[in-house]
Amino acid sequence: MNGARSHVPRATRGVGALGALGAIGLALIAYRFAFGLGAATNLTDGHPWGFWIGIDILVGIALAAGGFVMAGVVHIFGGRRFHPLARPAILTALLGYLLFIFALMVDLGRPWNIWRALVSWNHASPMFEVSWCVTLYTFVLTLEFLPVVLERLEWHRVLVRWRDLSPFAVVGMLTLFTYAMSGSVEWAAAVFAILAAWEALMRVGVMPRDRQMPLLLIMAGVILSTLHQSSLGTLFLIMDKVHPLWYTPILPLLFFLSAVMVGPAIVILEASVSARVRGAESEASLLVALSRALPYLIGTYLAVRVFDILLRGVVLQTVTLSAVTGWWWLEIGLLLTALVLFATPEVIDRARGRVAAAALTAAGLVVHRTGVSLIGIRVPEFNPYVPSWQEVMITVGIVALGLLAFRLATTYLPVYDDFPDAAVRALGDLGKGHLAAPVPVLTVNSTETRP
Amino acid sequence: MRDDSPSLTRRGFLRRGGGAAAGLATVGARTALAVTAGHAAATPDASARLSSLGERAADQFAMLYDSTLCVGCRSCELACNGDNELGRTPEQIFEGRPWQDARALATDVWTYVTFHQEEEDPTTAAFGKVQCMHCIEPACASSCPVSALEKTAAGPVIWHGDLCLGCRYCMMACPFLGALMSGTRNDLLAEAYRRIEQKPRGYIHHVYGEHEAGGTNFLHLAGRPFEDLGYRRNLPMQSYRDYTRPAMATIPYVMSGLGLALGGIAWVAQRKAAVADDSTDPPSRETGERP
Repeated sequence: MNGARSHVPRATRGVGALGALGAIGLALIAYRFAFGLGAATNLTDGHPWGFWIGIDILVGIALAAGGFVMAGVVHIFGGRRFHPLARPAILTALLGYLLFIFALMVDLGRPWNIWRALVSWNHASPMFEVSWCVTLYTFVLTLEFLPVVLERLEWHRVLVRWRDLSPFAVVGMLTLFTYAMSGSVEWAAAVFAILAAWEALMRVGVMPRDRQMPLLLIMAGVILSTLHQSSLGTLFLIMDKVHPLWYTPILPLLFFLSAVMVGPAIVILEASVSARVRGAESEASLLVALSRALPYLIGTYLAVRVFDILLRGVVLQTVTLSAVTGWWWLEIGLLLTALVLFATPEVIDRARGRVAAAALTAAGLVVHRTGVSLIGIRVPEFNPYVPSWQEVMITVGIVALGLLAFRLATTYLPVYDDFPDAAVRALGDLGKGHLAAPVPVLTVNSTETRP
Repeated sequence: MRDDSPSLTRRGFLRRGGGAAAGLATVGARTALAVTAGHAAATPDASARLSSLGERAADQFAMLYDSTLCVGCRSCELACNGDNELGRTPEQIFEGRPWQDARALATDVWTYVTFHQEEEDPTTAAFGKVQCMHCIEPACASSCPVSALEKTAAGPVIWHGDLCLGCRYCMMACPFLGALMSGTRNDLLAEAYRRIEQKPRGYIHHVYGEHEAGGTNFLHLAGRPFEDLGYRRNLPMQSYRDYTRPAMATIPYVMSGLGLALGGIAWVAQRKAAVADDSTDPPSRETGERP
């Protein structure tokens, strides 16, 4: 991390500012727990969800989607050249989810009861699904990130153990999850059979495997993310308080598409900004390649969003003169601008252009999610909700702490050096006894953990 | 990137996958249908659902409120406050706020009486009563992640505070802001229609709560339009649980569909990489290539 050292003054000032914001946030969190939600927030019986649900949770989880999108692109869809971008994306996602859980504890009225979601089941509740998915996916992200820590400690034996055992953890988790969600032994058995079959095919060498990253772990990340990114939208299907510009039966689909759209945009932002902070070369060619996918992702989301408005017959709502309508046009405007920028080669060839287009994409998502959860919530019997300064500063403080944690992790862990030689050798040696297997290069028989 | 395009890998997978492909296609189609078509596609015929909900609650305990008989004495507010130990004094209940005030249910207000009259004309005075509607299939109980809200077999919806997380999803989901008679729901419905039949000009010809939100265990009769008395209008004649049910029903399809698809795609991608690496790279550096 020589690059970091040469930029000490600027970095130190930034760290100091983030530390101060974090401290203010923590002090306000203490205030919220001492005096209650009523004292610290502007929430009412008519507006029981506010800034924290809208920003910390709906936006926060979407911005962490880069983790599953990049992991899927690299390890499932064969885009291995994007590997240098995957690790920071997984770290961003892991920190994002840990922060989300922390922020949720501040928002919950009775956080000490949170564990009950795992034992007191309600198959009908989208919130039940979200709580399970977030718990399991945070665990999956921890497993996905673990190699980075193990490489730093040079615990190669543990690394091998991790690679061999984590598929079992995944099969168990997803089977239990399916049973918890459907209450059906048959479905749980089907999911178990599918996952176990892939793992078995890889272990006997029929199916080629990625030696460094267990496929089932990545699959679990993609499956759980697909489900709960969309079920954040499902949450709002039961609320007839949501304005027709945002309420649609396809909210789950819109939430999923927008998460997939914003995932790569956040990867571009994160890679560009952290390259500047570290004073290192950014992976420019990869970021340009990634940018080329963005017009399709944004275009798909926009097409579904606009066709939904047309098909539901609420298009006249978009030409009224009101703040709500303005918010809708802001979303469409931001995303259209981002789409045009990403589709212009002269723009995405320059770092500044990529960052601007990615930031506009993220802003468009923020506008849509706050539209669903804040701007579009109509409860005429109560005064409109405006967040208190404490609510805003607690969110700012939590984000500041997250940025500090990211900086700490990238300084002390090999996040930007994917697979140092020693680790590759440790895992590579394992395969040597099995050169006779059908696809020797990629086959590792897990039963032989000792070289 | 051209070689990695999803359509090519998917085609490759289908070629190799054989029988599994048919299963995947079925699951995928079912998922896509349920997700995109929303509740319209997956919910059974709406009127059949309504009558089956009505049958479920037929012998449950229920209440009927007849607005035309209510004189607005508000002793129901006092009794509720006392029986449930809500801690408000009679002065707070009767003198604090006149009926005309905009009011709302709260932790210490479980019911209140509303008031409406036309153009300051006392002869048109009418009352309404706001409280939990005890829906047959309640939005609150459907949305609760820990089953802290329970629709009991006897009829009432109750709250298990020891389970509650305080996530407030139930509050976001509930569509209600919130002369009395009790009995089983079917008996009360019959009674309500008997009263409307006897005095057809005295009543709005509608039993509020029979079908609203799928039906509730608290039924209302009124002589004035319900919205004038502070009742929510334009409620769907459908259970709120039906709004999230189809999306939740897709979970096992997504689990197994993605489970099959992702594994197959990864297989093809890995195989292609292995073939490419065989001709170029030494065995130990097959992944993590740099651009």
